[in-house]
Amino acid sequence: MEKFTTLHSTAVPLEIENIDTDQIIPARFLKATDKEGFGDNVFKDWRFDKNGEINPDFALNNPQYSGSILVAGDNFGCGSSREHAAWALAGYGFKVIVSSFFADIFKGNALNNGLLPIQVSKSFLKDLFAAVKQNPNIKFTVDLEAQTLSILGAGLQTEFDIDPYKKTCLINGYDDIDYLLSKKELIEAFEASR
Amino acid sequence: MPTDEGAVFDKEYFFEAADIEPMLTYGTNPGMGIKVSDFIPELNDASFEKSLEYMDFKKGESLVGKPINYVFIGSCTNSRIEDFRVAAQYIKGKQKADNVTAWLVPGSKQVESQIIEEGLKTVFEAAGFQLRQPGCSACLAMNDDKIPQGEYCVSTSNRNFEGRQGQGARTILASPLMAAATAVEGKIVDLSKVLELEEELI
Repeated sequence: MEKFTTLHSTAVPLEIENIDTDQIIPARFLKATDKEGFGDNVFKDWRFDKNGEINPDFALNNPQYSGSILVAGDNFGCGSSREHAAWALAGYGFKVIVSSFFADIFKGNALNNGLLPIQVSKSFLKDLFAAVKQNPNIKFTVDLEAQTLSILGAGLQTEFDIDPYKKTCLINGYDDIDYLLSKKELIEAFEASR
Repeated sequence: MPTDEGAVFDKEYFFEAADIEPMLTYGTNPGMGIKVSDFIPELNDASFEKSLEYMDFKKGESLVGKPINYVFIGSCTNSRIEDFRVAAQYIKGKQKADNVTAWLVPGSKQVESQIIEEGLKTVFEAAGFQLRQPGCSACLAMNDDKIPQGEYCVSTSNRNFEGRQGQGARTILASPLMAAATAVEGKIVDLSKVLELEEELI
């Protein structure tokens, strides 16, 4: 997994609530033997209409918006527990998702795949949407070490919570196995002592 | 399971059994549900409006009488043998409506065997229902059990997101009994009234 420490990026606003995993990655794209390639089909039925034409009204297709941060409405990632949702968002290029609430299983899947879910208050989320819409080029700064999300250009800053273990994993680019292997010497010493 | 005498609870809720009615969903998440005799709420909210637009429903309207072409009784939520017994009891001696494709999908091979052993399969097939292979089926449309674009499906699964049962498909979540009644009538009916009427006829 890639290490995550700080991120300085523009953001894509997706001001829709209750975005479920069926929208993030529709079921017909779930059949695969590895995690690669899901990014092509992220939000497929919102990015394209039923005839396969690009939907110009959808935020991800709006040339004004770009960046590796997705700002989304309340209750992001609800629905099914498919890990593919996190793979698809990460595969598309997102590194951070900001919302006022994340479905628990999605949150776990995201953290396990190097995608940082940042939960902010409803009012702060509103301010973020307003700032991005007013200036699509405005930069967000995520500092994982300090657990802060800020937009210097708009005078916005907030702290966010993260499980300390997951924080360590993200900063070091560890998945659960990597973390265990990082403790190899301690484990071996313990095994030798018993 | 009775409660111990003097048990204390964090919260207690009391319901009048007479107020409980069959529930249906009208939107694109499971929380968007109403009693069958109720009307779709009138909220001014972008996500809510987007949802109604997808479903092609209007604020303030009733779902009763809406024509339905697909009925799915299945999924991990409602495909126990008890669910099929309830459905069979209602369906027995009736026919599904001509416009309806009705799929019954047991939750496991075990339930499938019970359906056959208890003679429910005969009841379903006589009524024009199709008993299909156990599995997820039209709950998430990963196999061929997909609802076509724009069609409504009264489904006993627990997910009604956009495109959940097929690209552009519109899902209305309901109980197995409501789904069975929809298949017979070819439209959404107020089950309480239908059952009352049946009782009067008996």
